[in-house]
Amino acid sequence: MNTSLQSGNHVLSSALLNQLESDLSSQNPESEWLNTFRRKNYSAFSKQPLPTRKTEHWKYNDMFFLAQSKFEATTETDQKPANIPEFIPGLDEAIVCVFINGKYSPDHSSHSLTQDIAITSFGNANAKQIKLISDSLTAAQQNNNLLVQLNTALSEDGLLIEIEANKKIEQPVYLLHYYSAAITSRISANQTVVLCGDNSQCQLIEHFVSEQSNSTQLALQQSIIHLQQNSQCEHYRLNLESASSLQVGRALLMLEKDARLNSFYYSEGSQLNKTDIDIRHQGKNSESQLTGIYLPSNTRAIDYHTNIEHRVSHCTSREVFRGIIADSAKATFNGKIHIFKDAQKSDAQLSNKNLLLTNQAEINTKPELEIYADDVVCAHGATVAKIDDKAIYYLQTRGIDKTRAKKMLSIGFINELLNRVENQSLSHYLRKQIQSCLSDVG
Amino acid sequence: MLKIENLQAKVEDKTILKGLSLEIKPGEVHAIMGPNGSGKSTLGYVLSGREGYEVSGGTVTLNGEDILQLEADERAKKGLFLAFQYPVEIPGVSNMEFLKASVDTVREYQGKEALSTVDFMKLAREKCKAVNLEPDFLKRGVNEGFSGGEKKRNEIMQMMLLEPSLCILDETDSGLDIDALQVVADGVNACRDENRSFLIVTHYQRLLDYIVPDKVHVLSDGKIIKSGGKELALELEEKGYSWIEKA
Repeated sequence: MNTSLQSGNHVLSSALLNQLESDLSSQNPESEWLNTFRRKNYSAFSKQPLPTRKTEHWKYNDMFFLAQSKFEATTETDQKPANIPEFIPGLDEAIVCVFINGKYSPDHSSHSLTQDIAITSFGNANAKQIKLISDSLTAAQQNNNLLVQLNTALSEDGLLIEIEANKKIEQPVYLLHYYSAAITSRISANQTVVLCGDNSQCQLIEHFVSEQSNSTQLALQQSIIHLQQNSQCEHYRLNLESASSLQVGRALLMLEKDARLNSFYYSEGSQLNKTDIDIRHQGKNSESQLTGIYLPSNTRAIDYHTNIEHRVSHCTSREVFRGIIADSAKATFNGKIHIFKDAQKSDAQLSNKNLLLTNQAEINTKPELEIYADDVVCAHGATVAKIDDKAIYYLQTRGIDKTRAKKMLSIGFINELLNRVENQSLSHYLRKQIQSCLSDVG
Repeated sequence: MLKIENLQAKVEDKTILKGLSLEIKPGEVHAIMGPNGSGKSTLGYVLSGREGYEVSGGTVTLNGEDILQLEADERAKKGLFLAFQYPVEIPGVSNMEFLKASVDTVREYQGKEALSTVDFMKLAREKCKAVNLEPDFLKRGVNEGFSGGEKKRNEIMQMMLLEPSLCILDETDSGLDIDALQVVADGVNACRDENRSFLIVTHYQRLLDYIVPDKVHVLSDGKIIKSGGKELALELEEKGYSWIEKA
């Protein structure tokens, strides 16, 4: 045990490393089940070299900060931001879970719980729940992103959300991840597991915000969402961190038979804003729709890696990501559809379109197909373009000035995707956010 | 209204307009006819202020004001309207949103009273009806998936909403069947009044049966080589352009 810790790459401060070592070597029988995962992931993390641009997964992102920083743990004083403002007006009825610097904060959370939903921290899980969490964490291990591994290693707790079978939860479940500024280089971790019971319906909103910070703040996060038979989940993941933030997250969504997933992503980028999205169709006749909008500006960076696996037959997936890249911003989109050998009658479509607003804006897009079955329908494509001069001119001849024309055309480019946001409060909030995000284009 | 004197313009170093002069008085309808490549569409682009069309000489005034230094949107605000030969499709921007932005901007500039959303909707539906477009068109993307005829009618509807003082119609008749042509012509005729002028660019005399012009000009190799009354159009239809060009 000790040897693997000491041979790990030292991105952690010695204080944090000592803490982790003491955590992981603890023999507390109650937390032993979680420690097993943490050890395994730390060991996997330690064996990997720090990513360079020669590693395909990290090719377009400079990970210099990992080598330069010695990350401290988040301390208790970090846990107390002054005031958390209301972020999305109209979500008053929501079941709210607030995480501050990765840690669940019951004080900030509010939910009048019904029998239909249970929210439990890992530490309080009963035997049945431990089994559920363990299964999810086991499934999540099939990933070689070393920061996802580090996240699991550092997560001394987590949150389990269970949606009761056969129930429709009317209020959205709102998960707010708030990151406060700190003086030292700091790392935070979070694990959230959501289990949607058979025939259940729910709406899940993950919202990430952070304060501007002068030091390097690395936020790691993983959400594992498991849709049981015939369940429906409307899922949103919104990354609205400040420019200084380093965010590496992962969403793993597993679909059982007849499950329906509608998953929406929005990001404005930050120093690095990376999200790995894994969709696993593991029950027949399940359907997923993935929608993503990214709007990086200034020198912000965004990276979406999506991997849709059709593990069984008769599943349908639709993925559309669109990005508008302004100034000297940079976006990376890597979208893969993986059809397993027995996944006949799979129907998968993937599209990525990009609009570059300047000559300095950068997009790296790579749609991929990996198909091992022979009776499938798959399509994928990517485009990169500038705003159409003819369209700008057309709007100008109708009295609309060039700056406004560009803004209208930019919003028009993503409008179709925005219309997919079914929650009205969220839709309103996002449109306002996008208006202000695109106000400087041109 | 519009006064063009010795206008010369080029695109990518190729001179297209080579000293064009024309004056349109308030309330007049002028038609410009001419063979392919004579510079008809270029004239519309130059007058409306399209980038890449460089004026190398001459003047253009609209209501006495030099407009050549103005951006395209400023010319539109001052009352110049160009109905496109090939209107641009803009997916994702609804016709309604686009029209409202356009009408609001132009009205505000001209010091006219702002229209409430309800009043605007009512007006837009009314104009849709006038050009025989279903009100559902307002919800669709600008020109997105519209047929050729629908696009042209959409142009005329925009013209009706914006109430410009000078309307330039660039081959609005091309690709229209007789019924659609009638609708477009009715729309234009409904807009005619003593303060509004029209410059109708067309290949064929046919449109001029429906929109009767005060004057007809023949454009050839970037210059107006002959002007006359409406009967000139009939003569051109019969004899083609070559008899004038040779003369």
